[in-house]
Amino acid sequence: MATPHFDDVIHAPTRLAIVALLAATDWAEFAFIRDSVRLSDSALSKQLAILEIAGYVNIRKSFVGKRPRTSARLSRVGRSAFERHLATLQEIVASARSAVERMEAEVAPGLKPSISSGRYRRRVPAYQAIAEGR
Amino acid sequence: MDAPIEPRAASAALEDVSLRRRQVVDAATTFPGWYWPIIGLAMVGLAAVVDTRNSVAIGVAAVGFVVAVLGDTAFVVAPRYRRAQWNQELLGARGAFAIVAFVWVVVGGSLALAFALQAAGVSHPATIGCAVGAIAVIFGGPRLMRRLRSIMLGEA
Repeated sequence: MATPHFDDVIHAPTRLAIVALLAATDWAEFAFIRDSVRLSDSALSKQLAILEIAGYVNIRKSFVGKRPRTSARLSRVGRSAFERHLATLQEIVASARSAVERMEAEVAPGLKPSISSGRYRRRVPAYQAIAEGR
Repeated sequence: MDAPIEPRAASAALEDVSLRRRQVVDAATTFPGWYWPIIGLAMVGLAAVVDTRNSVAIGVAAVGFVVAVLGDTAFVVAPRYRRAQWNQELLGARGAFAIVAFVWVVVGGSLALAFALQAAGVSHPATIGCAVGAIAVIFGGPRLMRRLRSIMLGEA
């Protein structure tokens, strides 16, 4: 498993969406990314440029007939950074979950930890605070 | 050490990551409804010609079958693959095995049935055998795609 590392370049919502999309592909066309992430051409170009400068994305420009076609892929560095960022996110969520389970056990030791139980959740107000990171 | 973001934001980010993966997988595995029936029709067409036992017609039909299957597949898969070349690791050995197993079951089952019918003296054994195979393709094809989708999403 990748070593957790929070990556500010990747974490911005639009860039996270782009990188996550690219992580599931070898190459993706500009139009596919634009349509999937619902960005304008200029906004996507800007975000791809930031990722390219960071060394996370490779851009390929080619022609099909006379029409230019731009594709992007995650570089090896980008893929590694994404995996490490993902590991951080998973770690944060797992820590919050175990904190909730610990609190449930302290508040009502006789009951099984049951995050999924809606009734129990209502009886433990602290649950919501922790789950929401307050 | 404090977490750089709140758990709820991390959870939302993970959900977004899953959504993006699903978008790629859906683009790869959503085939039009006519794809599988065309493959099935091509199978039955070839088998019907085989039952005529006319070697020239069989040769022409075999070429037509290959063209139909490859053309159908290229027409459906190529534009999707050009737009987003899905990561082959998503499919993995399990996905490849599912595809190979599906082809073997359909082809093997059709041939076995056809030879059994021929041995029993039934007329048009190849057509009947391949018609059963075609039904398996038409109904099993979408199930195969759902299976591949599950594998690619890590749900299987």
